[in-house]
Amino acid sequence: MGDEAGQRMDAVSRDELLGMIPAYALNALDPDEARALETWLPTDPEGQALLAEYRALAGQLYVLASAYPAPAHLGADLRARLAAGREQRAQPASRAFVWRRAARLWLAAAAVLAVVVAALLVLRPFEESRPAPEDPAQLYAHIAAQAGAQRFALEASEDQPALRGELVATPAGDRAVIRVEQLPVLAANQTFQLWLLDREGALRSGGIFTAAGDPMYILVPLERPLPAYERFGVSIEPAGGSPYADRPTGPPVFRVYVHS
Amino acid sequence: MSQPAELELLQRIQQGDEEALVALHARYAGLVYSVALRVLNDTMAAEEVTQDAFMRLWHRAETFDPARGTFVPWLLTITRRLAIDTQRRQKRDPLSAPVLIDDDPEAWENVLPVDERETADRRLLLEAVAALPDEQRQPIALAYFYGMSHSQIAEHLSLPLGTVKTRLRLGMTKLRAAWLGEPLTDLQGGE
Repeated sequence: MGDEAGQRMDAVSRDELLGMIPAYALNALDPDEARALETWLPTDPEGQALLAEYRALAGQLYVLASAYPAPAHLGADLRARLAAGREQRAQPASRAFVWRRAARLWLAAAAVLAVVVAALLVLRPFEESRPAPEDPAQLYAHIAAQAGAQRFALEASEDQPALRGELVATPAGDRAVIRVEQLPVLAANQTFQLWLLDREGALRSGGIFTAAGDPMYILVPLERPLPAYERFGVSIEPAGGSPYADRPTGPPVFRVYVHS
Repeated sequence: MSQPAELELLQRIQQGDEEALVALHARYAGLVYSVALRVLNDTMAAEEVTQDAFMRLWHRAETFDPARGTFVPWLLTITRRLAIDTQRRQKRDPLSAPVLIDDDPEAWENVLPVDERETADRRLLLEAVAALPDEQRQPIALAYFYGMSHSQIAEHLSLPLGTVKTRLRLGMTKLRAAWLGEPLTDLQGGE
């Protein structure tokens, strides 16, 4: 046993250190105790063996949970996420190919056309909803400028590290708009779908839409005041939307929690 | 599933074989979902964590080091971290008491792959867990599912720090003894 470890042993007895091992295996030691144990442990083979046993035990403590089979749709959902990832990886390559071949003049013209199309589409982001009473981008600016406006950050899914944005709602919580940047590029047979989950656990569709410009503004069709909702989210679905009225089938893009 | 089979699937995942991930998902989605649900007590959130855990596995399979442990504890460490992140974002209270244990020892056998040795070990551990006083089971569950330290558990349960340390140590000592088939000494078994 080294001098340094021996000195620490003066402060904390070996029995005490051995007694810390069960908690250490669970990562439950506070930092000072963990440091003391980690200093002593390399000097004591018995302690190392005991830790290995406790770590093996800790690896089985999932039995403290109740066992439930995974919902059946998760298998299909995983395949959909993998497929979406494949298509996202394929998109940049095909776009690059087109860009290489396009003449600069045509690029400029296409850019102008894209801006015009984007501006038109932003005015009606939800294909299946009625025409919006107000332009979502203007409504976003109007709400965001209000004193007492509520703001909630979007949480991007793991597959969308560049995505960011926020939901803004009126102080009364009766109107809400999502502003999102860096939505993923969809395949031709895909669409985005907005979902609203209320605090009773009921999930309903908020409509389907395609990206039109960046940032994108999405009007949230609230049927009840904002505090009645737990969270909103957007998923990637087949064209036409999820075949189910009450749940998504594709991978999530982002979600936003309504914190009280 | 044996460790070599898992390692082979992980190697295939690193090579971009989606079917290997689907195979692991078919085997362990129930386990991951059960642990996520225990942390979050919300089926939708647990589903999301389950899928996120497997997608993380898809993107970072190379971070599994068999020299440092076996696959299932590693997968469940990812799961608990994701679930704890979600739980903290949603400002949910940890499910602290009481920790209910299934009366049906076959519940896990319907969720996990069949393996006679693992099944026997799990049944032994389930019996030991069920025999623990709740006051010892509770701090273990808070540490395992919520990543709480001694101090955090003491604060959460409004108990003296020393009491929490003793209860957690005694509970773990009893579980280890039962799991290894060792007798408990009086010193180990009493508070």
